[in-house]
Amino acid sequence: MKIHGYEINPIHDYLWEIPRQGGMRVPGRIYTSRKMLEKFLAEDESIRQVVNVAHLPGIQKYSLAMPGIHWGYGFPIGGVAATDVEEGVISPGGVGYDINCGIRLARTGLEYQAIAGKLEKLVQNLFQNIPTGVGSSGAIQKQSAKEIRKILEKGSEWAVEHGFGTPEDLEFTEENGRMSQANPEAVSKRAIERGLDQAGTLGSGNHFLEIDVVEEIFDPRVAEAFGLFPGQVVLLIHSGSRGLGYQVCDDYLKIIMQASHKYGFTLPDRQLTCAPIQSKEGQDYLGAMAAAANFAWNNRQIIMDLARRTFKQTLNLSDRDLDFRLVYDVCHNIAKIEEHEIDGRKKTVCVHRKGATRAFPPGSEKIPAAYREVGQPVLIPGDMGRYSFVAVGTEKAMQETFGSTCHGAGRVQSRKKALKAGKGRDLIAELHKAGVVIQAKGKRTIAEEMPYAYKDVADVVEIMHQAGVSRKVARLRPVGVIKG
Amino acid sequence: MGEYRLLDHTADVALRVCGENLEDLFATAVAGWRYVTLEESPVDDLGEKNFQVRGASPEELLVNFLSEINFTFHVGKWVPARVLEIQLQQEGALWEVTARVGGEYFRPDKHEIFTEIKAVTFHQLNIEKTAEGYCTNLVFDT
Repeated sequence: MKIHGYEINPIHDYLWEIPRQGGMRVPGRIYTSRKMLEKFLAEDESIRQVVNVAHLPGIQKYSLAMPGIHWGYGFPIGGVAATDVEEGVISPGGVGYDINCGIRLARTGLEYQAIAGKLEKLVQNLFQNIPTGVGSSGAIQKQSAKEIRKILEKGSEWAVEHGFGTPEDLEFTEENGRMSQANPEAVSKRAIERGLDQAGTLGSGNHFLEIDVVEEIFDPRVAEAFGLFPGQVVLLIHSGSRGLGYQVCDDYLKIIMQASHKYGFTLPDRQLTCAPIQSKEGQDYLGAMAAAANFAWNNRQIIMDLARRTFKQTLNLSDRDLDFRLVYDVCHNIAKIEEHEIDGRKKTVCVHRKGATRAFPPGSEKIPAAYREVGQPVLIPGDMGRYSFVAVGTEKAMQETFGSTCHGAGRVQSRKKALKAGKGRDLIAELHKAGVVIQAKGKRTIAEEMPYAYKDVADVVEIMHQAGVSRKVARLRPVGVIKG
Repeated sequence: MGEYRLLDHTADVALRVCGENLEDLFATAVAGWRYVTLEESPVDDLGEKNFQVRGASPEELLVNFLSEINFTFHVGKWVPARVLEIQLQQEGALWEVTARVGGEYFRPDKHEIFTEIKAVTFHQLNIEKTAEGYCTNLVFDT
């Protein structure tokens, strides 16, 4: 098949390859189906972006894309690229503006019936206690720049030290909620200014906090290990590093662009701008990115604890009865230094995951001991009207995708089109009829984020399940949503 | 002043911006930024701020200038109403814009924020001289 002039051949039903050509250092590989290729990939430029990423110096094996791939800046959203840590490059565009945008799943011991009568009140109280929307602020007292630097260094530990959650929460967070290579000194004053009053805030756009019910279990053994059961009430949080992270990305795109002439890379797209990992610019970016990632983990930790408190108060339950625990927190916009087997040899690489989730297999030392027999939880949010998924990482992910899988569905309609489609309709009532109680800052956000604006995440999850990269564990159905 | 219009972009917000000359293009882009952020919320010219920004090309200058406007909004809580005076200069390889912008501080009772612009991107950015004047596409990460 040919799309946008690129030959694309099936390896199997769910994996397609773009052969090496021109300046590509490796082939491109896209996890997708024929249906999705023809329906979505023909419509945007993301295939060209997979090809462009294959030009990065030091890229290993393949320029990869997960299903749900769509047009990003430089990298496609859903792109994965591993670069040699000695000779390769780091690209801020391979992480994106919202550094450590991610998902957190917490479980309760409750079944849906226990909250059904108080759902409206619960959603209302969550909306009141957790700041949402553009420039939202004030979840916790405004912090000084000095304190923000501590958050950048400590990540979720800062939240726990300040009474938001427990030390066990750290164990169930990717990197324990703290990347040790964080370098707060590499974060600009401007970025810190953008973060001063944003710790613990949800933000806007597609970010959300959801109350879900476990609707179907696909893998009872793994679900049990994750503490999930049918009919259970769980909480899903999608948020990132807010203005601080956007500014870090912006700052380093500029710094690295200015430095790029030094390194003499010729790349097909300015937004792929990159620096050698071992260069000062590369190391500074990695340190600043890790600091922004820590800021995001701290945010989700605070948001989760504010939600836990709200559950307790609204439902008038003891800790024991609520039985609230973090299942896992995983990021989907990040670059990580990891060891992977390449051509039969262990190699240290920098894995860029832009709109891709880490999916480590059973036995990995990087995942909590409690999950070591089954593998790492993978959290894949859908739209607010249909469902989200819990999956689990596999050995095949290590062999094929540098331990990565999909992160979500992606839009199918622009915001403009979604708004038009929602005109004259009572969308809150429509969602209510579908069993979802929603509170949002603006009616417009609801229209922009309606289920019809998104691809069906089940298709995306199914492709990775069929490809054997991440296996389905459970499907969650939203019943209460708060948004910006 | 020049003109801007929204383009259809699946994931983010894109504008087509045109101006009579580069200065006009930059001033129109500020109006476009404000429309995306606040839509029709009225913004009055109650005070002034001066901006002085540099870049290695007109494109980089535009990104840096609008990023400054965006930063001033998110951190300084200040919204531009209109560009009162603007000048672009080129010195060797460096471009510089100096602008005097009228506007006011953000007031939640007066202004409604519609879209958070995370960043101004280089995506599809290419300033060219056309029959309509100087034009470019402008993509905001939202």
